[in-house]
Amino acid sequence: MSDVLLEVQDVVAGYVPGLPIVHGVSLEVSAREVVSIIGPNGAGKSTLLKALIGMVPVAAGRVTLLGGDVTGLPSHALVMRGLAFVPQTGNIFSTLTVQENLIVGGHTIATRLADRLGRAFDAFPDLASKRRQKASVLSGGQRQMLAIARALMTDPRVVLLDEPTAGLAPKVVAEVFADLRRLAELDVAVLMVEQNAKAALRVSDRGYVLVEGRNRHAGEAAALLADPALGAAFLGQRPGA
Amino acid sequence: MLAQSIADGILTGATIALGAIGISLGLQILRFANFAHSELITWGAYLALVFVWFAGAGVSIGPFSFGWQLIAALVLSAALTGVLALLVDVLIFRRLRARGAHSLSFVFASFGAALIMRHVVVLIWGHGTHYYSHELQMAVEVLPGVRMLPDQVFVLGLAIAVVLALHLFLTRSRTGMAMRAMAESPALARVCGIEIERVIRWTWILSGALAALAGVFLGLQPQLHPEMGFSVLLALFAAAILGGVGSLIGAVVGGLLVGLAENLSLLVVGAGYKTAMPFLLLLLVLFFRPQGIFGQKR
Repeated sequence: MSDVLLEVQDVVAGYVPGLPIVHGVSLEVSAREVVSIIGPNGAGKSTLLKALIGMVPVAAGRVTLLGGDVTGLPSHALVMRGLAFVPQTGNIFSTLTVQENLIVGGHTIATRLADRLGRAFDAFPDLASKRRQKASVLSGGQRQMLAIARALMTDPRVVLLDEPTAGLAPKVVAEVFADLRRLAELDVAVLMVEQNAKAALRVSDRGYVLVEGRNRHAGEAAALLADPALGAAFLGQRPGA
Repeated sequence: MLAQSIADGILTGATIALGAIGISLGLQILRFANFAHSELITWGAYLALVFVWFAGAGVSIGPFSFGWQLIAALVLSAALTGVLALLVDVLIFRRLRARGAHSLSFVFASFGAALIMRHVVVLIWGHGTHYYSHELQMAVEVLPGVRMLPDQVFVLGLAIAVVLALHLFLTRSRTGMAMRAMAESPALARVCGIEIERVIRWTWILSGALAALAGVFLGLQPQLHPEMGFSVLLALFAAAILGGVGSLIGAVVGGLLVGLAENLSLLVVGAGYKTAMPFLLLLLVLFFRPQGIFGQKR
């Protein structure tokens, strides 16, 4: 595939040395793509994302970002090279104001911070009116928007999102997915882990199914959605439905 | 009498607050109780003394007991104590971080570092007391019923200026915001591109510089001795915890409350009970607000 931004080859990762949770996973994310990783609980989806952003050690395999080998680099170095991460929980600094969250998100930017702040507030107007307020006062949806806006402050090429819609109201879920689709149109590649597999695949270009820390299926999102065996196993569909 | 006690309390509290900010930064960002902070205070005071010795007493500025030499010594001591704090980190605590040591290991290592640092002070400068200046000062009436030495007015004014500058640093500068971010969540700070070790270095430098200021302020009231930092250590922890760990304003208010509790208690109990009063206040506050006055619930 051309224009591959993030390439993961046979990555083995886990929290404790010698006890991997991810057993040789491979995947690719290309420019302007939304890619979902789905699978049952304990499949190693979140651990894989954390390994890609340097929060969990990579024991084996290779990670390539924008053509360069970034395997084992610390998080701050990965952020400087164009990767961003939105964790599932604790993804904003609640003791900081909304604007301070964004400034901290843009910590690695040397110049044009004001421009980027302006862009973030243009993209997420709900946050603009609350810029001086502590992030702890935001609603669940606004917190998620702030977390995404914070991750975008460095102009990343690839954004990793761990369960971006967890705990959100259905209306807000649709807004978050629409935001993610918009990101891809802005030339940012999105790789997300989602429990809400059907909804995630509907906004994705491609998907990967992980089971027990290994690749089980991969393909176009539409094809995965249409696969009856997959639907029954991972998408909550009844066989034959 | 009451007004004078309040003024004395605020003065004591201002110095304690500067030390307590360093303790609070350590608890929140370095994530351990740094008992070596007391010795940074002592070292800060003695390093300034060295500069004063080298530069000579000079001519006193206005009503103060000291000349420009002490102001320069204050700045140089703050810088050098910041470097000393960094050196302590490099030699001891960075190695513990690299090995993923338990937080208790950090605490006990800080005890060890404190003992070594205090004994080196004794080795170099001896057990005796030292003075920045032998000038005699007369207290002046600054408010009706409140008399202070000019040096004490200087200490109070500079402490206020330093706290304001620190507030601006933490809220306006990127490094300050990164420190606050890391205090809340090191994991999230990392994925924001913040280099954790750099923030830790800044924390040590800042803590060391503030400790030096507290040390010089203590030395001005009126003498230096090798246990000067250790003698205020518990009061510093009381102030940091009373105000709420991680809160600058909390450390300042905690420091003032500790100073006031010590001095106001003299109106009702003997001087022997003075140092126990802040801890009674601490217990009382923690009973109702376990996170301290300005602390965040976890």
